[in-house]
Amino acid sequence: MLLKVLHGKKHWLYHRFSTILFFPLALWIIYSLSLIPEITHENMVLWISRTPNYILLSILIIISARHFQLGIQVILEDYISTIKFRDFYIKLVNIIYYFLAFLGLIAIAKIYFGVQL
Amino acid sequence: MAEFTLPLNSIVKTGKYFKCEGADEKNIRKFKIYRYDPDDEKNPRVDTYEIDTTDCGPMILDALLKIKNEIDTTITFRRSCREGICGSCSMNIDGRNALACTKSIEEVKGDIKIYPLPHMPVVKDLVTDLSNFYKQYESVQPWLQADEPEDLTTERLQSKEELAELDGSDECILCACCSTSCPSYWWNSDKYLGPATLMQAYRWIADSRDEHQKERLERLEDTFKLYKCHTIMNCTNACPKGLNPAKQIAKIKSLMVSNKI
Repeated sequence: MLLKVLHGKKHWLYHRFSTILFFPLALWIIYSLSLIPEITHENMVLWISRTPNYILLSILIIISARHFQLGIQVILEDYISTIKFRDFYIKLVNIIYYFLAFLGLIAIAKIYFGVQL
Repeated sequence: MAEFTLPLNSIVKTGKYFKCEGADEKNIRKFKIYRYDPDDEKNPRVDTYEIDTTDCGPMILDALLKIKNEIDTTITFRRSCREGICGSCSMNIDGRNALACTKSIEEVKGDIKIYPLPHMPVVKDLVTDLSNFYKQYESVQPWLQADEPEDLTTERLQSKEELAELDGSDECILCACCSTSCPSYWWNSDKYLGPATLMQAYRWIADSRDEHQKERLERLEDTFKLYKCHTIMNCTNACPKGLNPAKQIAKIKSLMVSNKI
């Protein structure tokens, strides 16, 4: 389902919902990071290891990956008129963004559970 | 792929210069007009015409008619009502789509540049091929669709409130100023319906007498037909009748969700 290429109304709705969810999360991350006295590796590990930060950061990664994937899909639809190429690039972008999101989630999970253990 | 450069035979060259003799210099305005004739197989060019504004009507269309009648009879453009009702004289004036009959010469500062509607196939000079535009209009079935009432002697009445729903969309004169100012329409005019057609689609969706709202909405459920509107708002900016096609498109999108199409 997540890898499915969305079209029409579904694409439009998902794009809007992801924008609405992305906005407070973006404000949260800016505010939360501004509270860290100094951005060092140790402080960032500590920051991610806090459960609320870990959960919200995981959600932010998923939402932003979906949002950017949907946005890039619009650009590809606008500028590539050959259907064969267009569909190929949309699927490729879909896979790339989910792969990046997966890497991001693994990375922060490693930090979170590493510290917790 | 999208094309980002013009083919060599589309590059616009400098054309002829028609000087106005014997007029006071301060009353002269220069009209730089796009000229293209597919029959002579030459590149398009921009001809310059000097016009004595004291001997010409106040509107751009008056100047075009003066040029055609007195200076250069070969210039081609559409016109009919000369009062902003028919939409025939839509063209790109001073970088903005407008009706030549309702745009005054005084509104434009400096040289007056007149081009055909952007990103449309040019038939000749300022005349563009609107076949695709009309075909798209036809595709939204712009006529009342309702089952026959049992009693054929009754009228299909509309309340003032129901009629007010059509305000802002049924005044459209289909001049194509909005659609041809939309970048989304430039890139995908073969698939995206464009603001003018979508506003007409909304005009019939919103009509309380029409009984096929669901079918009309279903026909628009497509990646390109409706959702290629990215709310750029050029359409609203360009409309010579002061309408807001972007708002009507947003209403269609909202109906799509609320009607669970």
